[in-house]
Amino acid sequence: MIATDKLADVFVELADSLVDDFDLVDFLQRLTDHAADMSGASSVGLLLADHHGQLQFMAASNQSGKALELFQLQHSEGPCLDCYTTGEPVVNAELEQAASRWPHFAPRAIEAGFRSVHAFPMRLRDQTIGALNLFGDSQTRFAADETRLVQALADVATIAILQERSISHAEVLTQQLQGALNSRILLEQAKGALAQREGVSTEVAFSMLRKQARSTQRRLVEVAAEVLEGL
Amino acid sequence: MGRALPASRGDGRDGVDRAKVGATERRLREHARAACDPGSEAVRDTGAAIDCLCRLAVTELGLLGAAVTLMTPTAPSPGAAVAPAPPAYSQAVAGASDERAHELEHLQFSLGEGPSAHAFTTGRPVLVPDLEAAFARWPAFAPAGLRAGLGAVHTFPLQLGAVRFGTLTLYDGRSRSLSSDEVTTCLILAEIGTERLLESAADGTSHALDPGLDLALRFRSEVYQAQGKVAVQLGVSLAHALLLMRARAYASDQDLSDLAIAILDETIEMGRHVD
Repeated sequence: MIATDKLADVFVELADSLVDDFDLVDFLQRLTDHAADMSGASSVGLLLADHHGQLQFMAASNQSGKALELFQLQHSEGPCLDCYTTGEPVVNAELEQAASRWPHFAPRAIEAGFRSVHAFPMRLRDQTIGALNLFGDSQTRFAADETRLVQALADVATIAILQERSISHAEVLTQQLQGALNSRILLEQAKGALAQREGVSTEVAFSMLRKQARSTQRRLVEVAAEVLEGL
Repeated sequence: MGRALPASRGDGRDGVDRAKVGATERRLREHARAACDPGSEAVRDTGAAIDCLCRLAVTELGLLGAAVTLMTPTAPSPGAAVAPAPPAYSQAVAGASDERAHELEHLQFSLGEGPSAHAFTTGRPVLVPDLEAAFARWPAFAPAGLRAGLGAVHTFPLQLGAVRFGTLTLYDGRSRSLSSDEVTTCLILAEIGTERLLESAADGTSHALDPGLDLALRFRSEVYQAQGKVAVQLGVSLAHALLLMRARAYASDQDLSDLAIAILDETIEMGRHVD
């Protein structure tokens, strides 16, 4: 069922999209498109957990995939959620026999014309960040080596997403450090400079800085920077 | 799916040894991660997690002390027209194994030289197995470190790709090289430290540092106050002012903080030139 002739192209294109100008939404959109294309699934959807651990819809290969993902989120039920919770794949689940497992989701998916469903965890070590859902409209079954391939696709995507997150956290941390460290040091320097200029103590200089920030409705660090200008 | 270890590791080892080494590293990584988990009962916040990491380094490697300094290039802070004057980066100690390690970290700042600054600017570990042999490299820090009981000092940068946040410095009472396993331990600890710092930033979208980390930051405010005062007094740049203060402290064998306090109290008059 997996179109192995497309595999190389899929992995090469995904790798290419990691090299520069990485855009998460665009990347996930391609991922779902490729997963659908290569597996023959009629719809593919993807959920990712936000930093509170709440799953959010991220991408789908088409509208019915999106609808089914959102339905799972609304009813807190379905293969994607099971897969995210357990970290284990859900493979070859036949919807007609799944009414007791997913009383809301199964009838809805059948109504939408699907017959089988698969979900693959997006996981690195002990951390599961989301799940990739494949919906089939025929009685499609994956063989063991085929599920490994889809899982590999999910794994590559997971690494890409985590790396992108780390980098954006690194950028945030850098900004935070610059804000916290530079502005504090600047403020201390300004206290000393103003104290000398006005012949007062640093405590008095600090109140002067605060007073001026209040009366001109500016941030303390801006007033401090002004004191240091020209030094 | 372990993270790739540095390529130099495991060279020439057979598969079994490699697997064993991999398991040891994994155990250490898991142990360190668990021991320094902010949100666990023993570790209140990110600041405490950094302290904990430093203490773990001390026990794992049998050190005198360990400390983490956060540094950032002195790009102008938002809204500020000028950047704080040199050093070309701002720094504060975020955590240490104990007060002594704090002091050693401050010693480097006070003297304006040492392995932390070097590791931060180059992005590479700085390994100094014998401080006595480092006099030419750090004419002020090496003798001062020896007097403080140091035999060796090693610094590992905390970084992700090209983005650098600070350093983990290990202070050893003995003069000795780290074994390759110990270097691996250091790299893992630096990695966990980086991980913790990144996690602290994960929720942040603003310029506000994680509160636990923010409160943990320690720097010598008196030094910067005195720097501003001297700059105005002598009509020199902030950078020049700090250089004069460091020179004066060094020449009179005085701690930079003590000198700064004397300047603020006006019990010392700074000259424009070093005597």
